[in-house]
Amino acid sequence: MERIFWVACPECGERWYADWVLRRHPTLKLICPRCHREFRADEAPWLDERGTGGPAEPEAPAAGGRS
Amino acid sequence: MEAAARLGQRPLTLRGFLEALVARYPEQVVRVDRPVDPANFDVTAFLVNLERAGRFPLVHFANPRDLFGEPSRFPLVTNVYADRVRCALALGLPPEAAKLPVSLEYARREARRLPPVVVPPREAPVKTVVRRGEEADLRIFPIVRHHEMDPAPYIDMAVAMRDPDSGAYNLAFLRNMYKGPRRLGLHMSPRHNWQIVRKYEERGEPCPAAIVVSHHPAFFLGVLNVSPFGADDYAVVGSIMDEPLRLVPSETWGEAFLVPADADIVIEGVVPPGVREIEGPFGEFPGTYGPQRLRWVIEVTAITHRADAVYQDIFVGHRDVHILGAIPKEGSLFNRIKGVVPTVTGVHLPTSGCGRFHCYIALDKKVEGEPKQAALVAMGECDFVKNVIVVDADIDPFNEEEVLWAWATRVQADEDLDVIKNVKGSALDPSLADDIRTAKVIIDATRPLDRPFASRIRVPEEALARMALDRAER
Repeated sequence: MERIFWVACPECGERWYADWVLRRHPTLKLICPRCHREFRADEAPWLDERGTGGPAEPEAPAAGGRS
Repeated sequence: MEAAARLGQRPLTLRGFLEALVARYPEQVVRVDRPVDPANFDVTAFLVNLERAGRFPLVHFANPRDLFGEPSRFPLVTNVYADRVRCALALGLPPEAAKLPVSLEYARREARRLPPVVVPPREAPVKTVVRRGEEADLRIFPIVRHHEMDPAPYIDMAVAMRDPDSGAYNLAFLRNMYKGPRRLGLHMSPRHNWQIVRKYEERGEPCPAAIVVSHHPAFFLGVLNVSPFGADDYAVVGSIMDEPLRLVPSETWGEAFLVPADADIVIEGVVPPGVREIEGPFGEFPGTYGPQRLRWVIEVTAITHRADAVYQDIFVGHRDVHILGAIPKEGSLFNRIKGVVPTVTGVHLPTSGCGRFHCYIALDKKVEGEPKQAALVAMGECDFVKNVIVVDADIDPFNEEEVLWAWATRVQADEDLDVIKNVKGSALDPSLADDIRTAKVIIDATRPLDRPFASRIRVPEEALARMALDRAER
């Protein structure tokens, strides 16, 4: 499985995980699976990035997506 | 193989299968009449409670709510494949064929092709109700939210796409996250449909896609065929159903893209090029969540369905998916191994390995080295296969307790265990420390031929017959 990081929602505290690419993307917003709050990974109150190594190459910004 | 057990009349339909199953094998079905809310875990909670009780029936929810929160016009069936007996029945085989015979029959059918036939819309039940544009609203369906971390309800059945170069259709189980009344998130692993979408994206064109939500179970067993890219799945699926698949022009693309005429529900849409949105996490087949990712979307263009359509779901991450994944692979693995090790007697991908990761091979070993050779064939043939245990022919590979007994009593790890590193695995295996590479293990649990070895205890057959339970308990 791709490298992942755990994240907590700043709104409801729900914890889940995402592809490491989403951690490195400068503008892309994660979506909380419980309350659907959209936020950048940097805004998360808690992250677990152990073992993810160096920064991954960010993907191009999503065309027409929620970015 | 016996075909008299086939459930339902031709052409094969989901409703025909369900009615025949209830009539002839009522113990295989549980019907739930109370209203349930599939988007609020009612369906999967019931399935887990059944699972905890050791029960794996097909479940027919007669009164599910749709995504508007209203009573849906579509009843919902799920857990269809969670018992190998139902899979055998779906392929027209008797219940006693539920172990290896169903897999071998699958492999036999997979090797041939039955070209589909095209029928006009007036002869296609799936065209009874046609919804286009704003009327094509996904909220009419009782879409299931499966697991706690899933962000939304998911449609998790088969998606048809067409190779723009060869014209061949490909079918695959792909998850579709509900994002709006006419918008779905689409996850694909880098396999056949992924290649098709990539070709359209390179041309800057939208990729046509049709979600076949409900059809006869033999259709969906056929979807998991392991034919190479380029094989026309409509012809392969027809062969596995043992009747030519009837197709009809789609609403969106006409004759340029055909859809199954006898399906209960088809959702048509396009995958726009270059668009990625947040999708997941989603509880996947290994019993763990695939992470939240950037993934493709489907913009819905039309919905067509039967007047009395049944909505179908598969309980991903559970026995429903594990057995469905195992049967199509077991038969082809058996045939491949037999070509190299003719004494193979059985192959099983147990549910404990998600129907994919563990592979138990039984053979009547004649020379040392055959177990490892058979294991290497299985690993080379199927990249999902990760842990292979090879046993003697006195062990039933479908009886996991016997397989593990053989491991306990016939294996010395320093001699009988081999690890192979850096092999292509499954991207959904959560134990991978890499995107795709995995380590695989071979455990040779066969008795050695080059030295005397202990014999398995047993009670004489004559005594077993004399004391058969139906006679001895009188």
